[in-house]
Amino acid sequence: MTTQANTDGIVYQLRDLSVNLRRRGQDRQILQSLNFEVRKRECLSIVGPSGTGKTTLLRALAGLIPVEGEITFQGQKLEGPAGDAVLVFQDYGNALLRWRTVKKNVALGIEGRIPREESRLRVDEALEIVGLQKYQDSYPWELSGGMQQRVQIARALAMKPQVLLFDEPFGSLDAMTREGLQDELLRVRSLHEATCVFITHDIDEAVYLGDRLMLLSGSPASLTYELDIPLTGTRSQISTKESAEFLRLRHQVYEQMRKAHGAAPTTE
Amino acid sequence: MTTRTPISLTKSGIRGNRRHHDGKGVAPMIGLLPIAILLVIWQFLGNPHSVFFPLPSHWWTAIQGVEQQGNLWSSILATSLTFIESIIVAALIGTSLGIALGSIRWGGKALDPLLDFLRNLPAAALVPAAAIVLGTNTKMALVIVVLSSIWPILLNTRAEIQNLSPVLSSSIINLRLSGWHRLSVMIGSALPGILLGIRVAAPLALIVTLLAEFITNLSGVGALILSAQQNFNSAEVYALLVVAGLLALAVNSLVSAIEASVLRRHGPST
Repeated sequence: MTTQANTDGIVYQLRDLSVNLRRRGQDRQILQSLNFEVRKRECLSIVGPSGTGKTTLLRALAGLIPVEGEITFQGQKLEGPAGDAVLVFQDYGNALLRWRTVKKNVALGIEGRIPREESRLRVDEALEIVGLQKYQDSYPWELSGGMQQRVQIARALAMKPQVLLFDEPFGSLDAMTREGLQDELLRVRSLHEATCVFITHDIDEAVYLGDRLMLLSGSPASLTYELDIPLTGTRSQISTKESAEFLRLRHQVYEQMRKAHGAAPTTE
Repeated sequence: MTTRTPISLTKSGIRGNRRHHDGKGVAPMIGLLPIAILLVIWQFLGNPHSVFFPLPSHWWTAIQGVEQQGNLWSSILATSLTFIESIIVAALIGTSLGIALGSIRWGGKALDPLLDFLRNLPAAALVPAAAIVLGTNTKMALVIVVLSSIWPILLNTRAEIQNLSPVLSSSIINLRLSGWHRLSVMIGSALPGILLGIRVAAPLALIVTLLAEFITNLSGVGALILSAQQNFNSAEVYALLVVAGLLALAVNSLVSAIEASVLRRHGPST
């Protein structure tokens, strides 16, 4: 599936996207008239308070739920699971197969599809990127939460997808591990030029990782704010997060969030 | 009791029990101590001429008599064979049906009354019907045992599949796993529940095996007990009861050992 000339540089195009989900026999509208695009190789951060429908949006992008309106993925209307977009879930415990070793977990998406030798190489490569070669024969339950999440990222990388969809991937990790993984993710992106959609309720994380940020709020949720993040150079936990530019962007997002909700949300 | 109960068994039963296997079977042996003490007391304080409560030493003499007639080992073998065949068949059919029923959306509620009806049919009541249809042979025993021990396996498997974590089912779709690959992931995830079902089913299968032998006089430990009872040989009845108990103990240890070794890779429970 090659991208057409007129959609070059655009991975996702959403037109008037709404999502209704059925809960306890009642249809509830979760997302309302979203219009945006995801550009090739960018990292788009989507922030919003918990329960706004961020995960629903991500599931829609992965083609896992029925939608109204239109999602175009790589120039084609998305109907059914998106082949080239891989999800990374917050709940690594359930996303990984506990009876498989790290190596075999990473191979899950590619085994049987490509020749064995190539699969082995790709698994090695993915494990090297996340720095877990030493643990390839361990079981997930023998590893820490941060390491398990890296296994899940490696599993996604091994598939060499066009798009990585992150669903609050670091939400259940402690602050220090989370910062380590944020930097890891930046490094992965510099090695592996995939497009990322990163969902979080942590504004600092969204600004730190994103090239562009969108705010999702309201019920049903819609996009209420969009911001480019022109942070230049290599990002670092200390210097970037102390830079005037970072603080200014962060300030702007907080203000917008407060405007949308009438109260200051917590960064956790 | 509803068909939803198996999952709660999974949560408490299996997780709690898996830890016991580290004891390498020492604990069950110590657990037998009260029975041993009781038997010793019985031996020394019991009435040596009692018809209904013969001394344990008389049981021993009686069982040696059975052995000399050449019936003991062949009966134990026959019972064991029926049991093993049945539990394997029940596990295969129960797991397959459980996965099938767990996978269909409406299989959740619509089939509950039917399954509740079937699983509550007493095995003893099935024996005459099965004897009419199949005759009194080992095939009939097999059918009866499978029919009555399949439920814990089937219902547990179904519950595990229905309660598959949404993140895992999303992963399966997102990674585009299909066919055997998808099935193997589902089975892997349901395995603790399936094995718990088998552990619950195994003693049930043994009981019904003995029951079928009782009722139909098929050769086996059950038939030996029945004929001993009919001959008013109470010492032999007690001795065979011990044999049946030991058989149950062996079954339980075997199933637990298999379970522990299969689940080793699953690690401790979360």
